[in-house]
Amino acid sequence: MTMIDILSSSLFQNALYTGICAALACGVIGTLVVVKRMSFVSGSIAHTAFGGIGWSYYMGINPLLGALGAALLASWIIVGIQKRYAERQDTLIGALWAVGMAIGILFVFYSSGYATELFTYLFGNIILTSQSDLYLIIILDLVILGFVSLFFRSLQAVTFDEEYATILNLPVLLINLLFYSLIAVTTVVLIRAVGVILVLALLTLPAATAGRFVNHLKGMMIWHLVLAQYPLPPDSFCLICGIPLQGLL
Amino acid sequence: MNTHPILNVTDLGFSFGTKSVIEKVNFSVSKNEFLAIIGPNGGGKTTLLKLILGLLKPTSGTIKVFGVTPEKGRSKVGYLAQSHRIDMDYPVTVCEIVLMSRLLGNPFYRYNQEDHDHAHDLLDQLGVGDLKERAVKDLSGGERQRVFLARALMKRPQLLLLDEPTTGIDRPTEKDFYALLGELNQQMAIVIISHDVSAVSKWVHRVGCLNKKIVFHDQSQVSDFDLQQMYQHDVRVIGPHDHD
Repeated sequence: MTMIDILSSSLFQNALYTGICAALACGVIGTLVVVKRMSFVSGSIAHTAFGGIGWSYYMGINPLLGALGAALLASWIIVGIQKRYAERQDTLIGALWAVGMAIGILFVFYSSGYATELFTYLFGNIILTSQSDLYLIIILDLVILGFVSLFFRSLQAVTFDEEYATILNLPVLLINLLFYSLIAVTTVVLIRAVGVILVLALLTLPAATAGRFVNHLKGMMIWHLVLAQYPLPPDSFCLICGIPLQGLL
Repeated sequence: MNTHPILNVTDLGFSFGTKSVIEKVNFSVSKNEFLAIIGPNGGGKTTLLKLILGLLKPTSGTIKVFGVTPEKGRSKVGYLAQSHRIDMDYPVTVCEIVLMSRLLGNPFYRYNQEDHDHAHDLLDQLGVGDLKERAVKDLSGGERQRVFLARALMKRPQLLLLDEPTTGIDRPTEKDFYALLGELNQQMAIVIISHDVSAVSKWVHRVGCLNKKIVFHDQSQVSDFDLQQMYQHDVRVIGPHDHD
C-alpha cells in the first residue's frame, strides 16, 4: 500500500475530519475552561463519561451516545453542586470523577465478550472513527459553534464576572447550564480523538499556550484551534509507519 | 435637593445562618444625594450593598429600589464592586468590559456603533481613553477602578453603588477619584461604602456608620473625634480643599 493509498483511505479521511472537528470544539470551549480555571471540572466530566461508555457497551448501543448522556448528567450535577454546596465543590466534583470511572469499569466487567474496544475510548484512537461517529461529531460541533456564536457576549460576561452578570439581569443559571453542557458535548467529541484520559490535555494546554500570545477571548479561541491540531501530524506519521498512536500523541 | 426617595430600606435584617449581620436598618436615599457608609470589617457593609442589588434576600424588612423590588430596580443601578473579587488574568480588553453593561436583560444583544461611541466617550471622560484596547491585567489599580466605573456608568444609572472603590490605590489618585464622584453626583445619587474611615469625604452629604446597626450623621456633624470614638482608630477626612 502506497502513501497515497493510505492518505486517500476512508480511515485516514475520517481521522482527519475528526481531528479538525475536535480542534474546533476544544478551541472554543477549551479556552473558556482555561480562563474560568475549570480544568478539574472538565476532567471530572470527561471521566464520568466513561461510566456512560461502559453502560452503552453493556446495553449494546453506540458508546458515544452513552458518553454524551453521562457527560451531560455530570455537567448538570456539577452546576447544582456549585450552586448549593460551593464551599465543598472540589471534594464533591472529585467524588463524581471517581464514581463515574468506577461505574464504567463495573459495566465493562459484567459485559459479555472481550472489551478491547473500550480501551480506544479510554486512551483514544482517532483512526478507528467510524462514519456514524464522524456524523455525530460533526452534529455536536455544529451545536457547539452555534450556541457559542449566539451567546458569545453573555458567556464572556458570565465567565468574567458572574455577580455583575446577575445584576445585568442576565439568566446566569441558564447560561451556566448551557456552558457546562457544551463542555460535556466537547468532551464527547474529544473522546473519539484522544480518549478520556487525554481530553483534559487537549482541552487546556493549547489555550494555556494561546494565552501567552493574545489578550482577548476571540483571539485565544482562534490560537487554541490552531494549536489543537497538533495530534494530526503525529497521527499521520504513526499511521504511515504502522506504530501505536497513543504514545506519540 | 430633590427629596424624592429612590432607595428605601425599612427595618432591614439579615443573618448568615444564626449569625446576625444586619439588624433593624432604616434609611432612604434621595435623588442626587451622596451617601457614605463606613464601618469596621464584618460590620455588614458589603452585605448591605448585595441586599440592595438583590444578590441576597433579606431575613426581615423590605428594600425598594425606584419603588420596586431590587431585582426589578437594579436595571437603573450602577455598581462598582471590590476589584479583588474579579480574576484580572481573564483575557478581556477595557472596551469589552465597558460594553458588557449593554447586555442588560438581553443575552442575545449585539453591540452597535452607538454603544462603541458611548463606551469610548465614557473612557475619555474618565481619563482612560487611550487604554481602550489594553488587557485588564495590564492596568494599574487606579486605571482599573476607572474602567470598572465606566462599566457601571455605561448603564446610564440613576443610582451608583460603590464598594470600597479606593482600596489599593494611592492618595493622589484617591483624591482625583473623589473629585470625579463629586462631578458625577450632579447627575445621579451615589452610595459609597468603605471600611476605611479615612475615605470619608467632604463631597458626601451624609455619613452612615454601620456596625450591624446604622447611625447617620450629616457630613457637617461628623468630626474626626466622633469617628475615632466609634471605631477606636485614627480617622482622616479628605475634602475638596485637599485637592489640587
